[in-house]
Amino acid sequence: MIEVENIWKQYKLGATVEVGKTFREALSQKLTRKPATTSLDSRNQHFWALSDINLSIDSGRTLGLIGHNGAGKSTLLKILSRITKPTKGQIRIQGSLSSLLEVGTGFHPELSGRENIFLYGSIMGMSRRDIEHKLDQIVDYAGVEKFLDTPVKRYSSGMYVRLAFSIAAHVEPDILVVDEVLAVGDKEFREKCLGKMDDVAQSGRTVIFVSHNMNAIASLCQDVAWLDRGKIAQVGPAHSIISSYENSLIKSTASERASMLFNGSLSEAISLQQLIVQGVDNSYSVTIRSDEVIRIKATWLVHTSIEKLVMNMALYHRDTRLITLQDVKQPENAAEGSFTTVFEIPANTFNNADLTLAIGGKELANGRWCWAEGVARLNLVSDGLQQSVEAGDIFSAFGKGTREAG
Amino acid sequence: MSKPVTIIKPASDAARLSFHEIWKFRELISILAMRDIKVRYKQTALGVIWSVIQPLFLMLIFSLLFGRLAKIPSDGVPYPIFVFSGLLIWNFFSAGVSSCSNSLVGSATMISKVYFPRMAIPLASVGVSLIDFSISVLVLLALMAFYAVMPTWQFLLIPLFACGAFISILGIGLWLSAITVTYRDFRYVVPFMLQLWMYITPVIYPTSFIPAEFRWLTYLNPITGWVSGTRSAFLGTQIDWIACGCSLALSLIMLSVGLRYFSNAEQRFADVI
Repeated sequence: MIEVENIWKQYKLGATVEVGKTFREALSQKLTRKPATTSLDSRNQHFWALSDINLSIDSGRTLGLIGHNGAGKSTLLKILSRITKPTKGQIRIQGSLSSLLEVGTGFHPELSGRENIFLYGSIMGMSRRDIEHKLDQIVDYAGVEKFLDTPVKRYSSGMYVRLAFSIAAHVEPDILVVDEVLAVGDKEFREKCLGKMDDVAQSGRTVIFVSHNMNAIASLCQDVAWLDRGKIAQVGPAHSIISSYENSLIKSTASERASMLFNGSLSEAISLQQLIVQGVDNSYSVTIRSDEVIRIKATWLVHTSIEKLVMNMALYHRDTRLITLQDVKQPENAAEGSFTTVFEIPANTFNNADLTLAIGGKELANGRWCWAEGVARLNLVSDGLQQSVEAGDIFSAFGKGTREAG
Repeated sequence: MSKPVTIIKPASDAARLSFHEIWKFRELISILAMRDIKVRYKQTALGVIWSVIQPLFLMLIFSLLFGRLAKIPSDGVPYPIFVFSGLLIWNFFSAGVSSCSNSLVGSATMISKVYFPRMAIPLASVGVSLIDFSISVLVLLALMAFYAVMPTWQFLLIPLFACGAFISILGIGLWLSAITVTYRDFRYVVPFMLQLWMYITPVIYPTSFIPAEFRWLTYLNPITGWVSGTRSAFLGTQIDWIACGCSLALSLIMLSVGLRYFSNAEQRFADVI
């Protein structure tokens, strides 16, 4: 049972400037009793990350939180998990709450898998006895038996994420709060995560889940709250809120959608300028004949140069990834400026299908990534009965990607 | 079945520390401390021997500079033993304070992504220094055997003085760790401050070296009592209980100020870090 009453959260704009404030500045401010620099200075403007949030979540319900980037979803989760305090308002939480805002926070690369299970488990609030008791389950679920005594810095990123999620999933709180963590990891992992969260929900616990993936929200959540610029735009049964959210997306351009939907730290260095699906510019929903070659052209703007970059796109049918394409075989450096990637999928790959497009990239040099799901909907129609491809991952053999500079 | 109720409210200036909460997370504190200890000498060839080499070399250099060349008196015991027994608590204090004050900034991602009582981090960070201290005690005993200096019953008081030093470390370390979150200046202030501090503490010289009329000044140093006390405990000389009393009083005052500051600042860590 969670009751959120009139929650407000204020941040200072340009918080980075605020953090870097030197002791000298603070001291001279104190001594001269001057207000912090000038109030016109943008760094001292405040903004409300959350304004007047009211929510009531009954025990055993699953609530999805949706909204654009910067709408306040993560702030709300941080307040619920007691990481940060609200500026105004009050929340009453009945039962234990544990949150998974980032996979693997607190892992130490030098320690073995086993040692990290104890470390991470106790950070999440489990007792040593609890962890010992569940050790086998955690290891089993993560599938890392063989590497239990290997330092996690030698783990593949998939193993790392699986182990971290597995620990978090075994905390068994009354309320589980999960941020967009499914953006990392492969399809199998996503399904496993969703399955586990579903188990948690089925066992009568409360789940609060943030995602940009509407299919995941639709399949997991009973209720949805849509946050827009710090306010609750709509709250109610999942399907009706999701459809009105998607309707609002249709009215926006592709680059607006991408900036709203992009996740990951690479999105600071690169942004999507234009997206042309089958010759149609910027539209959210495009109807394509299934006997045509599907051509997706994306123009990217690089703000700060990126080392060893690959761009990807993927097509989803509900929550299943059908196809993943990469634009270049070998990662290439991207200088400031713009470039275009073109992805092509052969004709007759799909039959009648309603697909969603995800697009993004990964900097292989230091693991930064960005990914936006649901930037467009591809509605494939066929009039004949062509062979259709079974659901499942189909990699680049079924299509190709290219990159052009400028 | 009644479940625990948590009330989340805005930050307040009169935040109370929840010792209950910290007790609940005591295992986390020990696990974090163990993590630091385990990680410390990973991928080093010499490993834990570094904990022996570092103070030994410092002792050698000090003995040469201050004992041989500057001829600083050492209350009648061999200077190497004299200076090592002083360095023992001093190193514990100095390493403890510096790791404590950097601990929160070093765990920024954890603080902004998971909830747990923030005090677990600075508390656990002292663990490594405690291990180094214990190793140094063994080294000193070996040195004493080498110089044929016999320990007396006073040796048993050492844990007491170490506890005293621990209170001093927390008193100043908690405050420093919290203020470093907002003002990174203290990352540069602390090493510098500790360097100067050593020279105003009777580590390389005995208290008797200071003119009698100024000796009371050393009582204002919260670490003097523990340094001189530990030395006397090892060497079997008269323990300066007044210095210890002053150090205890000062350390407790600093600890209460530090705890207060920490519990208020703690509420904003995630926003500022």
